[in-house]
Amino acid sequence: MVKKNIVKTGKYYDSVLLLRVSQKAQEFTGVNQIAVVMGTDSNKEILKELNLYGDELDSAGPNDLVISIDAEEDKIEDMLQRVEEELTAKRRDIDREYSPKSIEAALESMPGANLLSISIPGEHAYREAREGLDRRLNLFIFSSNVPIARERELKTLGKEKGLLVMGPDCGTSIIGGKVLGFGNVVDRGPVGIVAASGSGTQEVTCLMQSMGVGITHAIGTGGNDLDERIGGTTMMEAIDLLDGDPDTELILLVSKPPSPGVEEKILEHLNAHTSKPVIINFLSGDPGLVVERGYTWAETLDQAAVRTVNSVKGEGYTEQFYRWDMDELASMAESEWGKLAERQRYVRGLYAGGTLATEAQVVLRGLLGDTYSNSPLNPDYRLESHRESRGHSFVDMGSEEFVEGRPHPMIDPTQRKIRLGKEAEDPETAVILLDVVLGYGSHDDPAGALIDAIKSAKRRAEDEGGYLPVVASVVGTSKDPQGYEEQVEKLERAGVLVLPSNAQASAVAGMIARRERMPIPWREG
Amino acid sequence: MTRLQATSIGFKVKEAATRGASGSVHSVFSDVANLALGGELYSISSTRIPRTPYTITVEDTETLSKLREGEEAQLRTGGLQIGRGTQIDTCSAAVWRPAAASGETQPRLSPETLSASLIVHGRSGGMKPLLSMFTDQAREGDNSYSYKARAIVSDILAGGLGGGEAVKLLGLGPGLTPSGDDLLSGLLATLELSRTPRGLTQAKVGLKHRILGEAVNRTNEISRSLLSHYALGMVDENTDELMTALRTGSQRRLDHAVEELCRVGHSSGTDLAIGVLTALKLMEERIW
Repeated sequence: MVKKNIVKTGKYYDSVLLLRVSQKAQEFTGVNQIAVVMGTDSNKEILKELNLYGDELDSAGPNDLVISIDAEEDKIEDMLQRVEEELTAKRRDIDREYSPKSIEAALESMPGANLLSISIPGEHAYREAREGLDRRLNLFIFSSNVPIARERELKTLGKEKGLLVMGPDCGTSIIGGKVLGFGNVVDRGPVGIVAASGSGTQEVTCLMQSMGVGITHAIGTGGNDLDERIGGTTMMEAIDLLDGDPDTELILLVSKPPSPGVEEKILEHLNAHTSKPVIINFLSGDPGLVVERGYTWAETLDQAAVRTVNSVKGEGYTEQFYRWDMDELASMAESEWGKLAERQRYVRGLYAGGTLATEAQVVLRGLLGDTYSNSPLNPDYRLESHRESRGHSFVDMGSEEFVEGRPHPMIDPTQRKIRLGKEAEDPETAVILLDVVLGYGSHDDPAGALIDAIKSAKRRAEDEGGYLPVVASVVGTSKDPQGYEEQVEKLERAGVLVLPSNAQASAVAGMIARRERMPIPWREG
Repeated sequence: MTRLQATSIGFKVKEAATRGASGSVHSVFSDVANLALGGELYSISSTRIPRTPYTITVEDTETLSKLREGEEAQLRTGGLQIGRGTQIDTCSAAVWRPAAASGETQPRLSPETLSASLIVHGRSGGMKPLLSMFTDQAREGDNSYSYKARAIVSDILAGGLGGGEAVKLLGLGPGLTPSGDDLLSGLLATLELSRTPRGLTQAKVGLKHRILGEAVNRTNEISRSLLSHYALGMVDENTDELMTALRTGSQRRLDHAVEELCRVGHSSGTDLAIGVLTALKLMEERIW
């Protein structure tokens, strides 16, 4: 990475144009950071804090425009040229592809379309969604921050019209092999998934793919669907669809725990509407009701994948691909904890995937007890500020408070890199735990984008006579555009311990921080 | 020669025209051209841009974008001449004056009401994360600029305007008018247009002098002009409507005003409204 600063003297550009230039530049592969601001003293101070400042800015004044870029060396000139074009073009043709300005225009260009994907700020999503339903389109609503009453209204209307409403706040769906939102390239197969969890769907589908089992569809419901105010409307509709789908042999449900009444309702619905085998992973939920009704329970995402694959291929089939060898995991952890200084005590999990952050807490509940998070298992352990870790912390950096007005960390690693540096400065940090999520929608090179920050954190620890372990898992497949193997290799070359699943990465990180083995068995079954 | 008809002029434009003022084109954007006339910035803008006391509004924006920076400009009763090629007739233009400037605003809506509306309508990118200082409902994470501003605004809300922290907002943040300047403009205008207790009145006078004094070195000319106009209560149409909504106590009107204000710039309107919110909080909690 190299830094470059350009000063445009005595020329004013309006704010909307400056924002657009900044946003366009952020989309370039190889760009770490960019700031497009007026050269005031206050802004120059911020540029110093962001480590973007260079001597060329000494002479910049408040009437000058400053463009500061941190990017890969071979990309920077090309990028500057594009920035210049954006600033000088009289008429900007930003979207060269046809980009319809309304749902009506979109339908004119594709009259047979039956699904509308909505990814706009939450406050505007309802209106478009409503129009979509009026035009008899199924909906995939990526947007978050849609009021719950509006969500209920949309889902009720969708149900009346026989249309599926995936979302709001739906991160992932794979319908007939087509990925909507964030998702990975997986094969077609006999498993139908319904999930109120984007990163959960990604972890499960990728692990299943690595064991040779694909899916028919993965239907996202949106994070609020199993809230009692919504009542699981989309999950039940999706179950019906999969039940009626002749290619779906087995149904897998993935979610954080539903509201109690809703869980009962979902189980009753399953009982009444499908005779297909069902595996259920309600993270940190109670297996009692599920097992009572004769369905298979999975404690974690990796266990959900294993039990699903074994149901399809036969018991024990997964052993050849994926095992929990606690001796081996403990030995990996031990070789790391032996290098720690006494003051290093805590796991700091920095997650792009929210469900993965929850899964880490589930895995480590026995070893670490209650842990802090902006989405904690025990509400008493909610972080006071999502910006400050405390004790063992598992931060979902894709949550609404982090992403409102900013790109999701799966797309733009900047926030996570800054946070990684901050955690490394804390002398009590024993280990950094990360997820690296591949697939459509994610950064072109998520591992590569994190490596500088990881190396710098490790170097800093070494300069102070210490050692900082970094443990990660890569959520992806060999067929993803970023390539699973290449991404793992990049991380390992940077000294990261890469495990085959988030559950195992969490276990190793926990053992490093506690300097002891996990209890065996650490979970049911 | 291109001849345009102004649809509206601000009352400050009319005053300057009566005196006569000359200068040049300062800066040109797609919908706005700024003119530096007699040491003051005026603007010619399209009907899409909210009016201000210093604005000449025209319908033909094509001509605006053809103006060149540095061209001579002369404002006289009846019209504006720019270079040799452009004349704007102001004879039949309506004169616009902010309603809030004619009387002191006595806010009848609480800071909570304004912050709730801002959560819905506010745009990200500038100071919107500061809303979490005013309401538990705000959940937007800080950017580098709002993070710094948060500490400054927090000091102001804890210790009042006398500590001098407010000037640290000058020139802070993204945008042609940096977000910190927008926030200060909203703060200054609200204090100026409101009936404030004696202690706060003294503090606001001191604040105004400090900010306008420091702005000379700490921010750009366009932003400085905004600050000095707002410090005098010379606000634009959208801010004026917000002040009116606060005075009348109509929540529906407030919502509409906030929505319109937040459409300005990429985050300028939102940042400005957060300045208004800060002032309301100071007044409500009698902090100075």
